[in-house]
Amino acid sequence: MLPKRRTAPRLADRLLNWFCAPHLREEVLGDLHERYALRVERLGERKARQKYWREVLAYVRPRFIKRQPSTYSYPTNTDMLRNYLKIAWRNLVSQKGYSFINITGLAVGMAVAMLIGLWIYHEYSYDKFLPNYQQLYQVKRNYNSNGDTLTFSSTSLKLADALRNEIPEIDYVAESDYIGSSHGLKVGDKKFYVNGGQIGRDFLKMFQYPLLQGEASMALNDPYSIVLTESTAKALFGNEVPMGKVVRFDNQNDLKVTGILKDLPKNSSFQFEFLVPFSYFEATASNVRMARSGSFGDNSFQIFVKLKPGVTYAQVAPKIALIEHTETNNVNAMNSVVILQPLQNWHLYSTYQNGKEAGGFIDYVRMFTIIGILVVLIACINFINLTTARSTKRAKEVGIRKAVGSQRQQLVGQFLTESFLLTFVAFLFSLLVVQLSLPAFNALINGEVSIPYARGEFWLALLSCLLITALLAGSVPAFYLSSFQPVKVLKGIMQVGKAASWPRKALVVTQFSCSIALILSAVVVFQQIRYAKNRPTGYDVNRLMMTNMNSELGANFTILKDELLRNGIAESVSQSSSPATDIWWHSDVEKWPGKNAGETIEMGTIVIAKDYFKTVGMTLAQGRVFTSENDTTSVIFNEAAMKRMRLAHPIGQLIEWQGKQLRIVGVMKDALVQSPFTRADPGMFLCRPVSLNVLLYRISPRLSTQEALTQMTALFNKYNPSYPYSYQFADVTYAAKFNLETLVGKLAGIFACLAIFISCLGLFGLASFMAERRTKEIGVRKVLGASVLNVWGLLSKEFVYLVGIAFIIASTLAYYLLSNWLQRYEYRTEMSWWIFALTGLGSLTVTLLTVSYQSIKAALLNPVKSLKSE
Amino acid sequence: MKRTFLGEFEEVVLLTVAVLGDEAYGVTITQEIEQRTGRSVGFSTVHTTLQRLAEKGYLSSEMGGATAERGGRRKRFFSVTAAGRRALQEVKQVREELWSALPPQTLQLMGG
Repeated sequence: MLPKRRTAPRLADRLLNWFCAPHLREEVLGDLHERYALRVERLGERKARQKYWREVLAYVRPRFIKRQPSTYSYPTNTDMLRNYLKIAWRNLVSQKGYSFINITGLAVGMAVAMLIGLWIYHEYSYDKFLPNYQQLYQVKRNYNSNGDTLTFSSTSLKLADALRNEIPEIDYVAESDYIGSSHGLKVGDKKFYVNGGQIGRDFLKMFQYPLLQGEASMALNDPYSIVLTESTAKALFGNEVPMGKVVRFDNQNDLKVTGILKDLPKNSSFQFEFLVPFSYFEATASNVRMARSGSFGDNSFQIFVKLKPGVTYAQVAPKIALIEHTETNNVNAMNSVVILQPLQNWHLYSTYQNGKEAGGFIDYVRMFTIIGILVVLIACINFINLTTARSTKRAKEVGIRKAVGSQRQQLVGQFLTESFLLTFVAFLFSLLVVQLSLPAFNALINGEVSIPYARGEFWLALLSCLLITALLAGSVPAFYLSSFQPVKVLKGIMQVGKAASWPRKALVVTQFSCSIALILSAVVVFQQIRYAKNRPTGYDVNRLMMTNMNSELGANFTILKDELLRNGIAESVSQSSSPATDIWWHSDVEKWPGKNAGETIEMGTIVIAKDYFKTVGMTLAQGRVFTSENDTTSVIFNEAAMKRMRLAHPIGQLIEWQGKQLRIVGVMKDALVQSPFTRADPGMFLCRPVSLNVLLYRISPRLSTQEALTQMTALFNKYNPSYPYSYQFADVTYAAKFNLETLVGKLAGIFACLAIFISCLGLFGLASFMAERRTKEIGVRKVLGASVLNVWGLLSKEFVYLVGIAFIIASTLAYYLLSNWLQRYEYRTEMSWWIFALTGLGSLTVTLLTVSYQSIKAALLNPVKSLKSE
Repeated sequence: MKRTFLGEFEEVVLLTVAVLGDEAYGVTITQEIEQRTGRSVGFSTVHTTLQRLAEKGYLSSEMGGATAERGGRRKRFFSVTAAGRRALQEVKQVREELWSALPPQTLQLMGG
């Protein structure tokens, strides 16, 4: 038998021992135990234990927790730390100017770094919210075009089936028309024209976007079903329950709502408002049905796959790479290698070179990481410079502390504490700055960046940044200041000679090199944007509008065109297979005079209607345009295509395209339909008497845009009642091609200005310190006859000289980096000397302005005052 | 003259210490109060009050008298100081003055 437990609960005792002040522990525990023993007798053990716990917990009050103050101070670390903090605080308050400069500089620097950090975090967070995102891939093709590898994301349905049936490592395959294409949704009299996609039935099982209603495994099973996002459902049905209701799709069929998705976050690569099963597409479009049993060459679909858990891409890569080579009679299939791109790389690695991911947005993310680090570095340099420059002021303190018995490491500790305090204050300010500037920043980057206050990682990251910054800023002054020899310092013979100012000068040069290089980069980025914007496009985007066609609009095209022209709303109306600012179809010319064996051309192919060239404003170089929509045996090329095909006298020559003989009747001047930064692509124009994809119309200059829009809305509502009137301005679409460059330019510009600002703050501090230290010297010089100008020159010279060196370093560095950056553009600006000259002049001016305030103040000082000594 | 201020519970604790004489420490004081007043009293409350009274100078204390139930820990014995006795006197006097000022009818109504 076990002996009866008579002792009080151990855990409770331990708890009490932990929180109770040591000088009270004995009596408290003793009393508790004695009473416990009594209670065990009286109430039994169980109740006594309960009461014991309650009593112990009742002791949690300040009176018992508070430790007894010692009668004499014992020098523990906290005591000295408190002293350090006190001294640091007094220094902070007594030297208001320097503190302000230090804190502002650090706060701005840290705010910049934090913004950049948050932004990068946002960029990296793309698509990571999807469960199992590591197993999701998009299928792409590496196409061998005369030795060059081009990577396409358009694939065939035959490939989708091949992957589904022949590769056991693949869990699911989903094929799609194109996620992000626009379609008409209509409920009652509410009609919308929104982005969505027609997608394989397993899609929601692969990409598990949160479903509010419906089931991922069921929602896309029936061909006549549709899944809507929450806000689209709300727009269509208001407050009614949307599930099971019917949506008219493209004014053709009624689809039943089978699922409601939560709205997609901004950090999702896919942006769609609805999903329709791909089986619907097949059921309603005969050409899609045919494509299923077609060849690997029918590349006009997207494919997404999910690998089985535990399977890596490396394991399946060899199996799928040559899957298309079974179709030996198809040149396109035989030249294609199938690859996969993991979902987590979609957003950041968008460009391919030689069949491999070659960067994309990630380059800018890296660039801004470096900028962020540079800005913090610049702010740290301010701190280092100002503290070491003022070292003589604190030399006495160091001397006395050492004489009294301070160890060097204790002094290092002291100065590090100071830098921690300062950094912490700056950090609080920077948090405020970031919080306040986030809306503007979000508007600039068109993102959804926010401070994740609730996340532990965020605070951990901040804390480590704080630590690093404080150490970076504080370590140099700490080691420098603590190295003073007390004897020399206290005797007053400490000479801070030329040698001591060298590191400081080097740091100033570093600071300004970084700032000037940033400024140069921003200027060159803007220069490049302006250069490309001013480039002649070969057509006229002004007042040119585009509307996607649909069957109803196609049927009423002629009458609508007639009305638009008759009412003087539009100057010219036409339609084509691609919008004016893009090419949706590339095809191969099979034969042309002088073609080498096996040579292929990726020819941008645009099918056009009458008046197309007149509407978009392209000019004819030679030959003629199409006579009518029925001129189907003629073809028109652009000059780039002629150069590519090496045809010196093209008019009247015969070519073969998709098995048909076509006669070249004309050559158009090149037009920049796609990227404004590259050469014009070779292109061909065909004409067909059918309804095409995009309606193009140029509104009349006699009408204001607003008037024209009102009249056109009425006309479109009359002739295309099933869809809301939607349109795009070609000039806006064209300008959007510069979005990335403009964003990079703006961000670089803002950060460059902030960097210069911080650098100048530091310079201002240094200059004021120099002026202060040389007060006596200046006084003597003035007595001996120096003019204000002399003194100003004397004080400013040094800094101008430093900035000059920095400028030389910065321009060499920037020239090298920027010419690398420019290499990525085929059409690029020259970095002319005057950009550098102007930037140099600008930074010198800013430097002089910064320094002059202090130097002129010093120069104007009455020597009587500065030389008087009491 | 500085008025002595004693809270109701403080007064009870101080009196109990006086009643217990040499045997006044945490456990006995708490038990005595519980027995005499019939109300259940928390240990920590008594302890806090004892400390407060000691701070005010009404109580003095010393350590001693370890026993086995206490795990060999000493007790803190409390005794009432001269100031404490004066304070108790003052309180008693105030009470008595108030009682004697009570009109006889009221006294009768209260069952006195």
